[in-house]
Amino acid sequence: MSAVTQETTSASTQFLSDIIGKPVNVKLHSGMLYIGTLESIDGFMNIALSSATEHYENKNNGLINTYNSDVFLRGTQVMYISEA
Amino acid sequence: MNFEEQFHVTTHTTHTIMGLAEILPLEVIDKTINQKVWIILQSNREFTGTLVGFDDFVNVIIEDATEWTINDKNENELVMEHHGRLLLSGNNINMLVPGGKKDC
Amino acid sequence: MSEKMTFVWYSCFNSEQNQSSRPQSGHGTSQRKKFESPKREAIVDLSKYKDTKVRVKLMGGRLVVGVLKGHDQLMNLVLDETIEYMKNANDEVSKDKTRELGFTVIRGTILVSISPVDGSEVIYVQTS
Repeated sequence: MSAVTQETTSASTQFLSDIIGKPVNVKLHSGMLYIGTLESIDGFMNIALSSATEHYENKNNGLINTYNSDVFLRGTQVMYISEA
Repeated sequence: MNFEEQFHVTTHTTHTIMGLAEILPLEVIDKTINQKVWIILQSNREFTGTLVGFDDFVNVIIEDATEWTINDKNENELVMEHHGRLLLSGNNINMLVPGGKKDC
Repeated sequence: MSEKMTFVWYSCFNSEQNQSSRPQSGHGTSQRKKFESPKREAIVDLSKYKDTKVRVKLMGGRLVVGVLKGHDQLMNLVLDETIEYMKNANDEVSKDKTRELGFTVIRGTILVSISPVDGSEVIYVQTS
């Protein structure tokens, strides 16, 4: 099963529709943590955030960057998305 | 929760095929819903929390998750605590341990 | 073996032919569907290892040993009394660094190898 063909269903789709427009944490496999408002997400876990901040591993490790406009995150690189 | 108890909880939903009781992995995960779970990824990262749900790809939703990394000395390092639900991509999940992690 | 394969290919070709000459043929479409989704069966029957100790290697380099309690078509495993052999700082798997995981579910998607513990022996142990 490759990540490219993967589409989420049921429990996860429910969760995804619940958290649209809410503040979220997204972590990539590289360890980068993005905190922002969830604009959009699809079944591949591609994610669009607005007004995001970028940290390494957790918030306490200092701010790396702030994005005032949208940030797009590739689904294959996403480790998790959680309610902030 | 002791693992034996956990095990017996799962047995009554097992399928009997040719007289052999089969324990299906996804049923074990299903039985873990609303209980503590410990999830081990391919990397040196682990999550503990309460299992809320999962899907066909075993993308997993955990509530009040704690995120850990294991350092070179095999010690647990707390990365962060999450409040609310967390959707963990199933792509990199190696193992799921019903009942959670000792001391966590 | 190859003759059989040729035969299968030939009949596949034939059914396609039939279908193009008779596009509405129900028989042709069902034939075609059968070829598109061959039944996948596991080449090894894991149920014969049920309740025996197995050694499982996973993608990413993890090594676990446990008693096989169950499995499914996708090679997801249920292990009991699971022990994981941890890597040391040099990325080597060592016998002495272990941890107990207990009752676990292992994902079939990341499974690299599975073999019974009985019937295999250690031929070399890294000492350093």
